Amino acid sequence: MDRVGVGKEMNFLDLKFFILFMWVLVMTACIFIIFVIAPISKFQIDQNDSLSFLKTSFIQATLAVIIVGILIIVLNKFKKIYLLKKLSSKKG
Amino acid sequence: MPNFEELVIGTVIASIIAFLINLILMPSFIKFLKLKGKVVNDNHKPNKPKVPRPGGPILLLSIVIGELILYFVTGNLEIISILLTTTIAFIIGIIDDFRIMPGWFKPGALILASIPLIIFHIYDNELNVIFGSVFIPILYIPLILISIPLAGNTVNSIDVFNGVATGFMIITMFPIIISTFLFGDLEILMIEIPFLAALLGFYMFHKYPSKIFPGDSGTLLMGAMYGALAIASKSEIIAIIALLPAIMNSFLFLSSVRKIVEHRELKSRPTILNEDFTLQASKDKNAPITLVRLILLDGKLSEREIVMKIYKLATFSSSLALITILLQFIISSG
Repeated sequence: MDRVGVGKEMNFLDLKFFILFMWVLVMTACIFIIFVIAPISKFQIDQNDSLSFLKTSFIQATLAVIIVGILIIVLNKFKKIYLLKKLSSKKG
Repeated sequence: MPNFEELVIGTVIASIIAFLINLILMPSFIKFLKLKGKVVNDNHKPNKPKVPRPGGPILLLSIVIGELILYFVTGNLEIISILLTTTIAFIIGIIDDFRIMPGWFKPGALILASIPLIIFHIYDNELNVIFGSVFIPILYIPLILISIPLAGNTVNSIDVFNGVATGFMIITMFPIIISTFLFGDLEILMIEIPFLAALLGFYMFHKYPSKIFPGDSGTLLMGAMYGALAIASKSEIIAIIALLPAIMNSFLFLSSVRKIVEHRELKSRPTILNEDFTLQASKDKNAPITLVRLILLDGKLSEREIVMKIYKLATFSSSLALITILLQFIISSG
């Protein structure tokens, strides 16, 4: 018992744009990991020292967590803007 | 190590058996569940028909038998590791299917499902991040401990309408298979095919209108195995991109509710069921924001239409994953 045709006029691009935005965020994070976080290990003074290796890993992990935090904040902001625009366009 | 021909034959046989187990055993299992009264209302249809739940046990059986056939051909211990992860996720799900558990139970307990992947060391010490790879032997372990609960719960949260979770998994498996083919091991690719075949077999019964629901046991095992395969095939980022609509759903839900809760604990529903069995977005400010609520902001839709919209979003995110694979291929070969 389908109501085929109901809501057919829906413009679906908006949600795809949301997903596209998330994809851009993921790709940005990947670029940051490769070009900022990964090279940190090159600055490790003694490459064979396990304590030094642990310290470097800790710094890298902290930076990665900060990046994830920033991504969540950006996504949250985007969500609010998206919902605001979506709801105001519905009222209009 | 078997030769290529033996591997292909093994994979084909394992896949056919995984598919057929669902097709042959599921009708009897549906009857069995009905007889035992293990049914739930399908609330989005007229007269709220009773639908058996959970279908997870037969889905697990098909995956286990299919993959064990492959194990006897290849002797690859990674298969056992992935099967253990999948089985632990299934056990957690079946507990949640039959007992009312608190909201933290599924994400918390799923950490256990990650452990076989660490013990058998199925991960590479280098994380593939599209533009290159980073050597993170220590960081990889907490990453796995987070990944499996995330994958399991993400797939579980998308299972809101007939066939969605299984259909979503089938669509999003394609980028993983292509990524494994291009950048991963052949033996991991061989593990992915019987899983896809089992999902296809299960989909025959879960698709709209559902003859059976997977339950938490079904969705958690799907998500956990998907996550395990993504790790084993070094396709973690590709998996994240393919799963974006489901991740978006979890993110929207968590950011609006601000705590981990079960859907049954919610005081306000994100959608409203109309008398004509169409759904519309709730206007209640306290209602959680979900993917379906966003879809319904543009107007009321039938259940089948919502399911199709979610599949289209899964196809869109899988296309983005394919673009990412292409990008990685160009970078790695350039």
